[in-house]
Amino acid sequence: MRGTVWLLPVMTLCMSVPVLRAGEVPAATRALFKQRCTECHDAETKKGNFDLAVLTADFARPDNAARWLQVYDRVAAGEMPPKKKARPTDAERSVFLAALGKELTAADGSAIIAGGGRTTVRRMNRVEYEHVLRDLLALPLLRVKELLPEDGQQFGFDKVAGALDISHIQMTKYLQAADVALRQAIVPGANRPETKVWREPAMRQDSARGSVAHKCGVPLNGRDLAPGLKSQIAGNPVEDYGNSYRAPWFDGEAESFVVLSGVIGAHQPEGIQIDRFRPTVPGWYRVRFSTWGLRWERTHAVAAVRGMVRHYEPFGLPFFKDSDGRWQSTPLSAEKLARKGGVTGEWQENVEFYGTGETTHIVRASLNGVPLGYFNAPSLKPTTHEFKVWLNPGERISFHVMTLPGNGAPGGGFSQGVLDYDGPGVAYDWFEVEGPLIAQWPPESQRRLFGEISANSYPRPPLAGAPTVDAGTTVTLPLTAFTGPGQMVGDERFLNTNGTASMVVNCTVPGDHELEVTAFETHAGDEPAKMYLMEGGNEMPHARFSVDALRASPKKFRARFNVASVGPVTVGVQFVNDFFDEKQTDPAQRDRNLFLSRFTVTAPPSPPVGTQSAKSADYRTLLQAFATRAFRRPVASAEIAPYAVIVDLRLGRGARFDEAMIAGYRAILCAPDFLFIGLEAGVPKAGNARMGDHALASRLSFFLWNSAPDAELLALADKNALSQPATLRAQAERMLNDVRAERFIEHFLDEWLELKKIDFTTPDPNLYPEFDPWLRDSMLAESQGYFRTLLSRNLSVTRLVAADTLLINQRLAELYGIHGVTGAELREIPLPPGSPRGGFLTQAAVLKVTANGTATSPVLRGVWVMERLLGIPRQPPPPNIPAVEPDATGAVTIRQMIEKHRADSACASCHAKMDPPGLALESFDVIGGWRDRYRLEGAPRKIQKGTESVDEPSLLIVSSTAVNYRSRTRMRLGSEVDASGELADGRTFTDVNGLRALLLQDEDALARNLVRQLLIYATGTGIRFADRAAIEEIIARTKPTHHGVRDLLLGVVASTLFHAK
Amino acid sequence: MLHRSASVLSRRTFLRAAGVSLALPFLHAMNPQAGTATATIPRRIIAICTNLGVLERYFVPAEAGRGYALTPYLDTLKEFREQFTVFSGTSHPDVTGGHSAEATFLTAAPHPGSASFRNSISLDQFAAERIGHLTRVSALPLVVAKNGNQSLSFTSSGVMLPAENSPAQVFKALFIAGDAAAMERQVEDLRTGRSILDVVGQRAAALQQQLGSADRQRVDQYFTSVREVERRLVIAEEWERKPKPTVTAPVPRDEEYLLEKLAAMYDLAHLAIATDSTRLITLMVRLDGFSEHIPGVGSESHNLSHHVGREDKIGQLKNLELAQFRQLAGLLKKLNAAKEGDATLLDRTQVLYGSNLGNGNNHDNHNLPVILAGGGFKHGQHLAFDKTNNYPLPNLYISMLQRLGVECSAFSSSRGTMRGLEMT
Repeated sequence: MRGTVWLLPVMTLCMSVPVLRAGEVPAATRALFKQRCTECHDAETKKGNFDLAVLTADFARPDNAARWLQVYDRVAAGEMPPKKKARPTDAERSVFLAALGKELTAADGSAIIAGGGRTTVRRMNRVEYEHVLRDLLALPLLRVKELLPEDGQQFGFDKVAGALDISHIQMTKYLQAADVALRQAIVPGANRPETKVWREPAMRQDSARGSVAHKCGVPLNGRDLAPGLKSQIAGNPVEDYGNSYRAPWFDGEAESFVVLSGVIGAHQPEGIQIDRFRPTVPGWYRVRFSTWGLRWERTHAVAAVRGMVRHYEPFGLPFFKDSDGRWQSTPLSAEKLARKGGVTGEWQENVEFYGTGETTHIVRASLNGVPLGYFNAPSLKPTTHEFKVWLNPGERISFHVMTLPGNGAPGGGFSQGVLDYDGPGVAYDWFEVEGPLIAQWPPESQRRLFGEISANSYPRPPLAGAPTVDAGTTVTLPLTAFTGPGQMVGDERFLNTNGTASMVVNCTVPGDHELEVTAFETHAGDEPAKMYLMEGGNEMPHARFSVDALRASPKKFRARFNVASVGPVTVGVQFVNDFFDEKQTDPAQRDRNLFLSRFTVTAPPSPPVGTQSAKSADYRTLLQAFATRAFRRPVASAEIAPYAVIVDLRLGRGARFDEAMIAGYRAILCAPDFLFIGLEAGVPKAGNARMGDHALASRLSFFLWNSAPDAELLALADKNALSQPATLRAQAERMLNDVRAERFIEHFLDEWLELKKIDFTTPDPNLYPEFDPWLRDSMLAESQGYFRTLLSRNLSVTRLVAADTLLINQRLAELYGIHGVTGAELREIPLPPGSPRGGFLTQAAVLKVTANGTATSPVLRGVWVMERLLGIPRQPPPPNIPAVEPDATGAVTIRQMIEKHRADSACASCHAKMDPPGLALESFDVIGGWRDRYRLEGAPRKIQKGTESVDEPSLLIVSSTAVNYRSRTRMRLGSEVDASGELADGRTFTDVNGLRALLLQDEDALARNLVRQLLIYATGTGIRFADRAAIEEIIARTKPTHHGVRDLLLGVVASTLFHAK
Repeated sequence: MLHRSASVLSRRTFLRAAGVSLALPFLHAMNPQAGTATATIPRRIIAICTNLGVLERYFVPAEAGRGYALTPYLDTLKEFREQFTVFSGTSHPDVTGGHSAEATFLTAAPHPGSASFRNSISLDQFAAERIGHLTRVSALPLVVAKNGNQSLSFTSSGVMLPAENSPAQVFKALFIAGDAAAMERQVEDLRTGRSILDVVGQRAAALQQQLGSADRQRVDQYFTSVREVERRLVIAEEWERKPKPTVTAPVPRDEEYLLEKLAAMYDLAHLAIATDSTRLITLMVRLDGFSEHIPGVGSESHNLSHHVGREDKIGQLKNLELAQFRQLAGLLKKLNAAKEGDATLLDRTQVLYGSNLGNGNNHDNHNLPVILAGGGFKHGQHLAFDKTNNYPLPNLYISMLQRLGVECSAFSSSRGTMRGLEMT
């Protein structure tokens, strides 16, 4: 208990508890602290609900230690004693802090030793689980995450042991998920599928023809309407006008196909699809397509310029029936047409922002609703795009245009749809699909499980007690030994119900075997008895027979089955058309049954010597190799024994080899050694000792790849070379440069910046009609791309809140109000002068996840900045205080509500810290757009201004997006935004740029927070007091690069905390 | 088809040969407490939530206690007047968030609309953890909706258990036997699962010896879960080997319109209860999107629920809700007509009917409409509580669980039983 001797007296200064050994600290100091702290924080006053009297010197008690930590931090930050009270001198304070700090560190140290290390083993979270299986089984697009329950979170991350519990549900799901994954690794057929190239005109797709029927599509030759587009009025426009419409169709051929709206009718949400190509083999496919943008003018395409969108109506009343009995409307007279040129509706595209120049349209490809990419469709310039995608049988790729209005051509009886429409469009010329792309056969996924040879060529042990058929011989199977429906009647087996009668025979040579069944029926009904010959639960090829033979003259029926893997084979007969008619007067016609009188199996001759390559014992080697990768450490052959028993057991019961192996592999994937990170060999049992190299390899790869170590890392660990500082750094650099580091970027930001909440709320379409899926995807891409840049260029941590460049595409440029950015791809541009943007602080994704779909709350955004960027955690609210409810009616401002809330002193102390950054961000709405005034629902109304009636303040929203039918919306505006505020320490700002400047003043704080977040993420446990020294070391060492983000990350990897158990 | 063979064999031989045994009404072997009189009485819950509220003016009686005057909605249930209790002035404490409270109707987890929301265990799953092993299906979450599998049932970790939306699929799973080979395959799968768990469980036990205290706790949790799954697989295998109950009803059709869908689900619920295939059923009724084939209703349901006080909309909404109550009466009638021993199914089945919204028009989650019928309570009254300071509804769930024979003193935020509701 060194240190306690003089520390305890210091503590008495803060406590009213009299503690021994006073006198070693100057009496004046003691008195000073006694006066400073206990005046407010005694058992009676308990100011801020903080009672120092309950604190004891027992630092081993976690809650007690946590309170002491609070004392330390508040005093260290200069927040306590408060400004209004007399405060200790700096010297007094540092004596106190040093003593308390020493005690806290010591307490932490013994807690770490007692608990067996700073960290504990933890199970993988479901994100890691999916990546691990993808890598382990070489199935890059395997989806099993959704099969597992959602993971908990602690300290802001789903990587922390305390939040990753295991329940019986979790365990059940592991059993299922492993099975699902393993089965996907095996290809069903033995033959290599052929790689083919399929290519067709876009217009030939069913969905393209469908979109013509929805008045959303046009067949095109060159730039002109292709001949053959027809239309007629459907329904009865005279009696039921509301339900009659003009139905177009096109069944000819065309060079291109033009789509005119983002949404293709309510019944074709999947957009335009490559639907005439149906993949039958799962695998990688290369997709190519040609697309271009245009403006459609009733009969032909012109350059894609923005302008007026027009509907024409060249027909009118009366409706009449033509000679074919079809409804027609009457062409308008020339004078009527001349009025307004026949235009019945028009609106302007967003020329306010974009001007009237040529534009590039944006096409999104997606599979099952998941975007695969965004592609440019430039004006009148057919452009070929290409991407690779994994397709499962029957899956189809969808295309949607992001830059077309939701509604397109008119649809009533007085116009001819697309022929009476001017507006933007996008042409597709052709689609091409090549695949499956096969690098090797059998595919890598199957090799990982069965090596070079087919899964079903491995010999299996014979089933004891079953008859054996050797090479070149014929065996008659005893009908008495069959199981299933029916029973013996004399020497014959009698089947009187539907089902399969079968038994097992041991086959000792591979190759085609012949089955011969002698059978007859008792006839009833209008067809003979039907039987299928079966092998292993499946019908044999060409083995469906009608048993048109009676007892007097039984017939022989033959079929062949192939044995790839020698061993037990189940053969049998399925009876499928049992018949019984009680009312039938003729007893001979009452009951149809099947009789088997003889059942033989003939084996082929012996194969040439040497063709049987696989040996039965091989499967232990396969299991061992798999377990070594799965357990992320060397696995002794003895350790494999229990898993081999499972395989033996299944084989012994006659299972197919691949089925038996899947059971063994499943067990490996459910073993604690696989599921728990930290169980890799070399984990020290206790203390703050360094981990072994294999555990280190896992920590590194689960950090930077969210997956198990690859072969290179494991090889280094095998040699105990990974823990060498230079090697470790080189490996971390290699991993960051690998494409798998994208998993870290995506998941770390999902958790740290809470980007995974991007779809948590949908912006209210009445308030934010311009929000669309392209914007949503662009937001995420921006934040992820930005972090990627910080990491790859080692840019300063100050970039988290400020930057002189932006990484944006056309959609984000529109949101941020920046002109001249065209196209779907992100590109770096200099920050325009006067722009409020820069850093995560003002990125759309962050502003969206910190707001709900309707309103923003400065409290929530403030907490986000404090917790996520500055590392200051929120305190739970006092009980019985209702949360601030944003009000979108405009009656009260959010600021008024918050100020009312803060009038309560119980709330004020925390909110004074939390709210100010959020107030600065009030200038940004729920989708990250800039605002001077709040939006209000509804159309602007007239208000009385003096004697005059004027329009309310309003905003014109023009969105040329795919999801909203309304393209121009006038939005009411409410009160003005006030983005000023005062930080808890008294520094003030007037807007977000002011806040940014204040945040930049403490570069170390930003760096310290990022290091802490990375450490929690990497080591799966919270930050303790004892960790602070190591963190400060990283901060000090990265000063020269202004704390380059890559340096900070590499500093974490090099730190003692990363190496400690 | 199972049939008698005229030619050679007696029926008895035939049955033995075909591996058929007669289904018992209750599977005593599965009941660990078999033998004690109370334990053998099967008790059940059907919990139904209609998601857009119920118009208070046509539902809540003016008077409290017994002898209240029937309101238009309760009038549809009048023949069961003594067999249900109507509640008013109750709600789940701290449950806010309008429609998002659909997820908490049976869980009462606070603030379902908040960002950090995490759901907790639902009434049926709480019971299923204790009595689920007694039946083929531990609990049966059902949904009537335009599409999707939204459910009222949640696990203890707050994971939604997807609800079945196809009566035909459920019917097949419960009542149509697979062939012997399929059953064998299923049993073989379950056995493989058990041998896997056996191996990994032993590995965990060995690991526990080698680990420090904190790590050991994590692995211990794993070990416990493995043993629990093993136990469940044993039970599942026993069920797989038991013949499914035979019912005479035809396989239901998967209907398109609200009332037809609802009727099919209620029929199915009755069959599942009558055959003791499960004792716990939840039914989420998501009205959104429905408008067709409901007499006196012309607009979409969700739109109607936001009636903004317009009498024409309220009139249609009343017709919609009346139709739902008539369907509920149909279910009660079926349960009441079916005898089980000396009681009716209704006597042993608690039918809870309510909504997550007290007022669909303004998304209010207070003053929830709630009825509890049957199940062994002294019914026949209107338990009226304070409309401003609502009485905690989870107390009713504790009463229901206790009546089910499940030990329970706390559910969600509640610690007591429903005041004024007594068991028979």
